[in-house]
Amino acid sequence: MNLEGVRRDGDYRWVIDREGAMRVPAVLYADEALLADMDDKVRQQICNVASLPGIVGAACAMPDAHWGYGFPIGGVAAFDADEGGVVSAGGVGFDISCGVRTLVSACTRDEIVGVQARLAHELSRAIPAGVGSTGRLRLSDAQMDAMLTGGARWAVAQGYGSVEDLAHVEEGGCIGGADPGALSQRARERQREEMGTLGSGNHYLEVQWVTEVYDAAAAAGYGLEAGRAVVSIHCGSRGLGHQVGTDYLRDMVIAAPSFGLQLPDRELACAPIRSGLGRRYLGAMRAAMNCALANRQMLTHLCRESFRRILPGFEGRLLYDVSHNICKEEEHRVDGRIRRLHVHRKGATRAFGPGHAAVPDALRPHGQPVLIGGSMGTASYVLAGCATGEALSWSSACHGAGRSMSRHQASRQWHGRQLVDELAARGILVRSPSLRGVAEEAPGAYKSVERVVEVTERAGLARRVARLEPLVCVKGEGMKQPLVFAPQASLAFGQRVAAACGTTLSPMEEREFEGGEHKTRPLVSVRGEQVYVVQSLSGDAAGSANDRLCRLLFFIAGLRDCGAARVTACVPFLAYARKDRRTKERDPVTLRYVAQLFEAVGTDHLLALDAHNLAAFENAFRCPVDHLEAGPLMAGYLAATVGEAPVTIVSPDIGGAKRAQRVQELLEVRLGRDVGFAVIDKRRSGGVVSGGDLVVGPVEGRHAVLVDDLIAAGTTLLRAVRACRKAGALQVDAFATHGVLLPEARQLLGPDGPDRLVVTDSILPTRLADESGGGRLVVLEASALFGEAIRRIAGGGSVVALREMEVRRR
Amino acid sequence: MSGWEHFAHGADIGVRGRGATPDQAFEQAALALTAVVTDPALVRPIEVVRIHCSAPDLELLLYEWLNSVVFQMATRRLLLAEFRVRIAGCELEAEARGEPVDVARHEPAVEVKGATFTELAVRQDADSRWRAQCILDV
Repeated sequence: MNLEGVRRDGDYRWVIDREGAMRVPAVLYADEALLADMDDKVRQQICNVASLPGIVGAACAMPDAHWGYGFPIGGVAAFDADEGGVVSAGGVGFDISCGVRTLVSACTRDEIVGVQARLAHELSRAIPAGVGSTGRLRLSDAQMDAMLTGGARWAVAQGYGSVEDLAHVEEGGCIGGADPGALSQRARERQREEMGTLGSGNHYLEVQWVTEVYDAAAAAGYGLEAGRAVVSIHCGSRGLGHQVGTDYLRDMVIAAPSFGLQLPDRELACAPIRSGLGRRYLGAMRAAMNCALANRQMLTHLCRESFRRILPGFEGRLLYDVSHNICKEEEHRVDGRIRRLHVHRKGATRAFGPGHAAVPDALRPHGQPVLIGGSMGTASYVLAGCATGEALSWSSACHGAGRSMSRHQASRQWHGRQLVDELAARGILVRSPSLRGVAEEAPGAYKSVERVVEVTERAGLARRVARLEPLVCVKGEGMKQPLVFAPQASLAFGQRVAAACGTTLSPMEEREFEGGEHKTRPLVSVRGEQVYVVQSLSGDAAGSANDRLCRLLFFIAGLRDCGAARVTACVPFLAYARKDRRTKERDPVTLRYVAQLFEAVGTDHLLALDAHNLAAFENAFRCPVDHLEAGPLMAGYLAATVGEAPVTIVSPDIGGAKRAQRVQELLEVRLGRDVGFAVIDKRRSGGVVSGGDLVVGPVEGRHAVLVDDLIAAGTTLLRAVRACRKAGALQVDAFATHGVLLPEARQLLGPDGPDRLVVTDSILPTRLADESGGGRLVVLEASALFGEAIRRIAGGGSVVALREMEVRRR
Repeated sequence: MSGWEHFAHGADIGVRGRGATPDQAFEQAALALTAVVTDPALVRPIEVVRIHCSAPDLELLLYEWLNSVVFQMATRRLLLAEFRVRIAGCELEAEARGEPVDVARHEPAVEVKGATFTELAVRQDADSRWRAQCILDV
């Protein structure tokens, strides 16, 4: 900041005397370093505030002041309605009544550390946060009105927290003078589903511990003890407050000329307190404050519930709840006379000293708790208001650290994942739905809160009581972590699926009994969870397809019994998928019976890979199914490995023509050139397949690629390879999704076999594992497809879109 | 040539759209707003939202427009990433396309609380291109 014309008035007080349009001086509380760091805009903005009508005393800037909207953030100004004083929507800000509340507990740091990961998981699931999150409660218009006038009292009446909490909330949990009628329909709409949500950005719920006590008497009075855990919640009035800010900022900008207001900057928009618009804004703003108080009360309840699920005796007594973005009507002594003033605190915390009537009885001897939130992963502080603050800053103190770097810069400088890992290494668990969000909130992007708090104390605005450090920081439900299980038989595939959807396999027990009986059970709680079970239904030496089907069905049934919210079977190879029709008299339609079994045990959703006949598969099940295709994997691998020669995709029989054509289309997109298509007509005589197959389509002088869904013995495929060679193909590859690869399939790796045999990992090619055929056997990983499908299902996305994604590239 | 960019503001972030017409500059400013939340390329244009707003001047119209986009995204839990804006006098008609927030795929970084009057400007630059900008409160 340019210090010209800034007069030093004590060690931590700086004055800009009245000049130009200023009606009162501007006062900044800072040390030399903090002052030098402040933006010139802070100076400009605080001087602008000093020029507003009806301002009393001085316009003040706190040690954490930075460039805001009209008012600097960290700005404090009091107006007298009797002297034409104004109320400013920009002086309150968009997040009306944003504030902090802190709960104290008897838990020690060590007790928390012992359950830290579980607690973080539990809290992140219980506290709705992040973009697009919704609360559990949807408010009707009548409920909305009751909430807007009742604040935290309304929330307690709804069962959130206890009556004892209310005495420790600013205004007893409910500010009078709220006018729900002053809210726009939009403001109500934005709040309808946002009660009990945390929001995003720098809002958080933190489990912290007291690292240091500065004022033993006050700390004892507040219930803060070194080594004990506390919980702090930082958030505001959610969408409703943002919309009130948006609506009234505009209305005040438009109306300013009608009040004869000469504004240096229209973002300073304000209205006389005694005008209709001023009164309406105050009514709407107070309703938004009640919304914030109710919201923090609901979050407190959710938080206590989460704690009690893990630490049954947890109490979490409310220390205090105080806002730092608000305009309050208060009594202050000015030149020996008590006056009622409208005090704007924009990014500043009210800090009444000891004995003040507004401070709860139990805390009154020590002064009002002033709750200062740090940035993610850094310390927070509990301060106490002191008597000197009244004359200095209308009993106001700082509110937090303030950014030193833009979000954009921060997200370029840090990686969210790395930050989460680094903080975890320091014993701080961060849970957030967005890694970019984490990067933007990097601790290094904020100023040091330590210095701000120290200067706040030295300047006489408030005094330090205790320092807090975080153990768990919840900014939202980490990426929704689905629970993925895979029995031994599909362990490797399951591990890759879990990794592809950003998690690890959850543990399960598998026990074998004599006589072939078995039992499986999850070793973690699945109650209320989205569960995915990965099991391929192929048979091999270690177990039959029937055995694996049975185990999968029993496991799913058990999951349902244990209260899993949703169970999805992920079946890369679905046994009996080919038996989708009667081909002989009295034939079974086994695919349908398998489907009935899955439904009978309570499977909610089934994912399969290339299930022979898509229509038959989809129609066999009544529960939702999704069909994943290996086509994009094949096309991707082909595109990366084919040479310059023209390529033809060949279907080994007419029945598989559609599947092969899809690979042809995908490959054309990838290669950006035409790809041929051919089909082999099996000549039959008397029901027996004879030699001399006819290849229909261009194969001569081309790279022929056979595409099928399954290879068992490989006899058909071998015939097709021969037919292509005979028709003059330069190279013949064989691609199949499922490599059942019976012992006879060994012939495919002989001299008559394809140049390359490519399958996916839906079935492990165990029988051919010992001989890769001189590098001719290639296994593509379909596990990534399942991982992505799970991510989409868990995140509410579309699996069909995943299938279509490749084609849309055209 | 049209395009968008972000510019720094201490605690928050500025959005700036440019284009041959105010319509284009408004479209680009909205795209910049979405880019504060997520990468617009990740947003598929599946759902259509129609937006109408009016204001006494172009700058107030930008304020109304961006705040309408914020409102639609917040209440429908959508991300919007394709905008068609038509401005006639003080009236704006727009079609915005996008899809519901998919936390896993979009990894939305931050909620936009609202567009502000700070650095609010709609004007023609020396190169005759239009600019539409303001700071968002996030």
